[in-house]
Amino acid sequence: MTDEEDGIAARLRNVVFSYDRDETLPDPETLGTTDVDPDDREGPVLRGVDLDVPAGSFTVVMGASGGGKSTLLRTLNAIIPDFITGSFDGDVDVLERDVTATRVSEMATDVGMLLQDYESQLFGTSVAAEVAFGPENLAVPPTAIGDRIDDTLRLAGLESLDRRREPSGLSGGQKQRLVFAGVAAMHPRLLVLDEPTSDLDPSGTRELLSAIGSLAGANLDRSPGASETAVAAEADWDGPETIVMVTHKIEEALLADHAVLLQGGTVYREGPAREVFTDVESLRASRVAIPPLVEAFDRLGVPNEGLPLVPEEVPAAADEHGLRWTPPGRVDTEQSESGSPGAPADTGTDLGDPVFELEDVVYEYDTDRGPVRAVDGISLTVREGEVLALVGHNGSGKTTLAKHLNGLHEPDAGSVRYDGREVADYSMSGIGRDVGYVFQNPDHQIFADTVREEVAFGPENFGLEGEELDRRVREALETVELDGLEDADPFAFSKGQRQRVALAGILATDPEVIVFDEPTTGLDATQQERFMQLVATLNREESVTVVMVTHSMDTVARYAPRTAVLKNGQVVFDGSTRELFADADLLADNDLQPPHVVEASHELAAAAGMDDALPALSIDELVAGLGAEADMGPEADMGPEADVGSGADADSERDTDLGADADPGADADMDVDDAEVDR
Amino acid sequence: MSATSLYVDRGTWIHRLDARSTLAFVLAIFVSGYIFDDPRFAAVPLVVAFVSLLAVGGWPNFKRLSPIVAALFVVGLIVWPLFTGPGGPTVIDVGPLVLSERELLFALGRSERIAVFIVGGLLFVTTTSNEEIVSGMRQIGIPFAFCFAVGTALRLFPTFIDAAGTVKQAQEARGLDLSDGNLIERLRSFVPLLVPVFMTAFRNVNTQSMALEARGFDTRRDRTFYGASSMGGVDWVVTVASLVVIVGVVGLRLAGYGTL
Amino acid sequence: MREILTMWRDTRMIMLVAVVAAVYAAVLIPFQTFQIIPGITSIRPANVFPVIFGIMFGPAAAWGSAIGNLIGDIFGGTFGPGSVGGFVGNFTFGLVGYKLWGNLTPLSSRVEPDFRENAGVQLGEYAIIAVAASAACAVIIAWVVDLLGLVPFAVLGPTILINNSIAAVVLGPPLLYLTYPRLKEMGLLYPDLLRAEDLSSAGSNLNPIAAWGLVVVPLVWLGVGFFLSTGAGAGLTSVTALGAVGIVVLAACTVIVGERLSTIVGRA
Repeated sequence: MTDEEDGIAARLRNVVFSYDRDETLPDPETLGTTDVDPDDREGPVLRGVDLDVPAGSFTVVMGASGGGKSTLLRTLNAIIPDFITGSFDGDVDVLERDVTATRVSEMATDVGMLLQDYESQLFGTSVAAEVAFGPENLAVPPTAIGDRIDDTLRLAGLESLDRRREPSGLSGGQKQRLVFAGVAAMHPRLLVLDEPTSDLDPSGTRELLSAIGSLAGANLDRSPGASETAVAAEADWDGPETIVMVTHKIEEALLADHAVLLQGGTVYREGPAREVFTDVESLRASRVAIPPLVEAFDRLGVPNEGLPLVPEEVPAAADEHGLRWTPPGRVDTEQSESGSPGAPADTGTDLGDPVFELEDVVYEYDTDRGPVRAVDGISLTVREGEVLALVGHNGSGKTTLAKHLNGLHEPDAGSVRYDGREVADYSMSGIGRDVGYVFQNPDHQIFADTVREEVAFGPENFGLEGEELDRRVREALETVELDGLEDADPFAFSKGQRQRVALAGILATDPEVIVFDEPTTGLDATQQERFMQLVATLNREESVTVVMVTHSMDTVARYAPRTAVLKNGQVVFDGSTRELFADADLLADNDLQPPHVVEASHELAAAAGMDDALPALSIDELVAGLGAEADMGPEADMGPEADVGSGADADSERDTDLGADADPGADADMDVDDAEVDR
Repeated sequence: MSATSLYVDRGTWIHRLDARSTLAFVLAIFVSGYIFDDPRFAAVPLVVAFVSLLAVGGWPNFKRLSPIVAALFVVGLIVWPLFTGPGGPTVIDVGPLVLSERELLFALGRSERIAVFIVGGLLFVTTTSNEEIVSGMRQIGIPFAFCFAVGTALRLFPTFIDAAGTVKQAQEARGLDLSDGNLIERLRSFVPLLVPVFMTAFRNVNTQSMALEARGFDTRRDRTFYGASSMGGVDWVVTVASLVVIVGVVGLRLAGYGTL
Repeated sequence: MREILTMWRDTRMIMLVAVVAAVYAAVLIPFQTFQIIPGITSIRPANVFPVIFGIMFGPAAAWGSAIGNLIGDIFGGTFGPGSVGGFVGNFTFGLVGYKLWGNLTPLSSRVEPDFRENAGVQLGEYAIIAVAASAACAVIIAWVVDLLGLVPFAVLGPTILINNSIAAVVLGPPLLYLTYPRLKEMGLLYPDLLRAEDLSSAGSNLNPIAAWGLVVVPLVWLGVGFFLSTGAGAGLTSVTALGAVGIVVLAACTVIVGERLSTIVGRA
């Protein structure tokens, strides 16, 4: 598919780059193939990259944080070395141009770039102005720009938006698609996508991917299901010839036909996407999260060539290797008085008395267009030690509801009781000590000079001092595994670490309940895993009650035995997470996309003619259901390096492993990635 | 106050005016309000501005601003008699408060002037969207880089207001109390609010600049402008009429009308 | 002085202008402590921004503060002829810190404004700068507003000076302490962004005199203006004339004084 006759869109030779200015760069020969210590933050990020991006390909670049993925992309449009000078050596030729001697704005005529953070890429005062911005910069005649706006908004699925609307009022998904339209309107020959969906919710992700997919399908003849419905925008432009994308999500990576694994600043493996993503050894070595279905079938002893990538391929793969599906039993779905079967992560098992009782809660926002009812008569009880997930569309009221739990909102009608008493009757510090609230973005609270001061801020406000305060802070930092970094500047941490600082600030007040508001948005797979492991430990060992608002169905499946689905301010489902994932209609109604493992079990059940079978919620359960007779320990065939990079899965048996192994290098090199963004 | 723009999306003829013509119209109101000291003359632009504001759907905006207008009006009435000489018959004589006719009229005229400026300004922002403001600025010859900065600031502003609200909630959930203590302590308690607000803003500057250049932004290169509005018949009529009014009121004033 | 204009060539500086403006406006409106007379006098924590941004971002802070104040007017409903005064006043508010840090010989600390080294001297230096910047902003706005016949100079001048200086003096040191090292690490300080040839470094012999001029002139202007303004009758025209003189002298001082931070951080 990647025929070399079409030529090469981008050619990198011996590319070495460091963000530090005036650094003496070593000869790439000496950097070469030696294994780079991931803890080594010094020195170049790119360490002798040789890469040909085939023209006409959709190439995906993957690798561990700090491996240089984003840095690599920035050499494609001269951001490096024109905009970020750093220390650079090597040759980069893109679309017949010498990048090292070209300005970013000149490269922009041929290379379009879409980044993760949409807020940082919107400059226009209206939808139309935003799309027009790029073409205007390229001096496209105004008459032609009008057509481009129409075409690219349609391509992005935004044709129904009022052109005069201000971007700030759009949803995150719409904003990112608007940026995408703005980039596409420049008619790039090479489109560069740097984790374009990392900040989006599932529906936003799906819509953007569909836009990218149709653009890819328009010109690049490839990929299963690339339909011909894609609109060829204008006669003189029918999509980019080549797409290069960085992502850490496997569903997205599967859009590509060509894959590159980076490790330690060099290319570790390159080839057709399917081959690369089923090459378990290479994925592990380059510390890329292994696709869950690949991991499950690998554990079942299926050879690389037969590993399924998507749920639809699972029944055939199982069949071929004589694996029979035994769905999880129905016994565990009824919650007993004293406990529940818990989630695969062994969370939410020991339940105590009710801590929260919500009755007919109503909450309205005042807007210019009158009051909007965000919460419309919700009743819920949360018991001690429970892990409850609140899910639903954007605007379904889940965050508004969660903010009632620590008094950030007071109900307009109905009652919210904590420990038998109205939340409104507590002082802010009274409820604040018991009920911690972890906001989505840790940067909205971090201000202090050192980690210690930051963590001590809450407890101090709540009246703690002296020895007691020191002890609490110390213990909280130990819990979040940041001990030893007390005097560091939290601002310089990676996003995952910053989120853990925020959590420590809550833990130091010794709360009974912690409410999480989408705590893992914007974190990569490893960071997400590590954070959720921490939450699980708190629940298991200190019976902290957990309420989490989340979009991550994978997190819900593995960590929350109970889920409440909200829609238009009302609860439309409240019960066992496994039952939720068995109800396809309910999921579809609420725009909830179950994880691959769940979908795979549905495929298996359907193939076996089993109605009403409950799905597996974790890789372990899937493996167990397929290989019960095989009697293999989950790690029997995995060798010592198995833990590395398997962060995408966690299950009861391996919790402790993961907690401990949690990849000491991970934070160090995440810092590098963050630093890249910050420069 | 909310972050929402004061722009009211309607289709009135003032809305449809080119931003430059709206500016000329409002300028005529400002000049008329400025030129006359006599409150009976200054009342004319005030009425015109106020009626226009009502006609374009600006009542909610006026209502929102009315405490400020009222406060400034009262302050003007109290303060200005102290800064002008007495004249004419005494109209108020209550204890220590002695006001001559001239002082009273002067103060009333000044207070009306404040009201004219605010209502006239409201008329402009009610009928001119952010986008029209920015493209209008460019069309009266202000350099593109500057207009771009204004436009981007207008686009970022609501985002930062939201962020400020979230930061406030996050720190209050951690026990921050903004209403406690004396002036200095209260001001100090803003530090945990201000640092996250502006560090999140500046953290993105490098990414934003990178995205900007990747979109072809280059102040040293020619660019085109999409959707530049052109002045239509009505626009010219309004602009010329406004200029005539300005010349007219200046003439009246020079002829001695409207003074005290 | 040409960096005021040449900074518009640099993408990061332009972006800084926009972000400074948006942050200033976004904090100006919702965060107020004491509102004494709505619309005229309230102590706003945001008023610390032009001073500290000026020290760190130089000309971008001047333009950003001016635009931010304008946006505050547009969204707050106080857009009008007075906005011209607000624009020029806030421009100066942001410019003074840029011009004065390190230049107030012999009181200057001559170190980076992070309040770590020589903190006592830094506090003194900062307080003088904060008051000078607040005063410059106050006299310009009060002058324009008086010129427009809205509020007398004697009322508005001292009010703005007090409001601005309280916020700037109280909040500046902790904010610089917490943010200067971080912004420096991010490479956003103006000495890192402006090209060396665009920086008008402090070399002239007149430099210290002009620097102190930037401190003294606004305060004298305020004092004399207050006296003239309350002097009734003839006051109005003389306030106007005083302002015309004041603004010319201020501008002259601004042109003569060269910035010093780039020397302190060792970039020029």
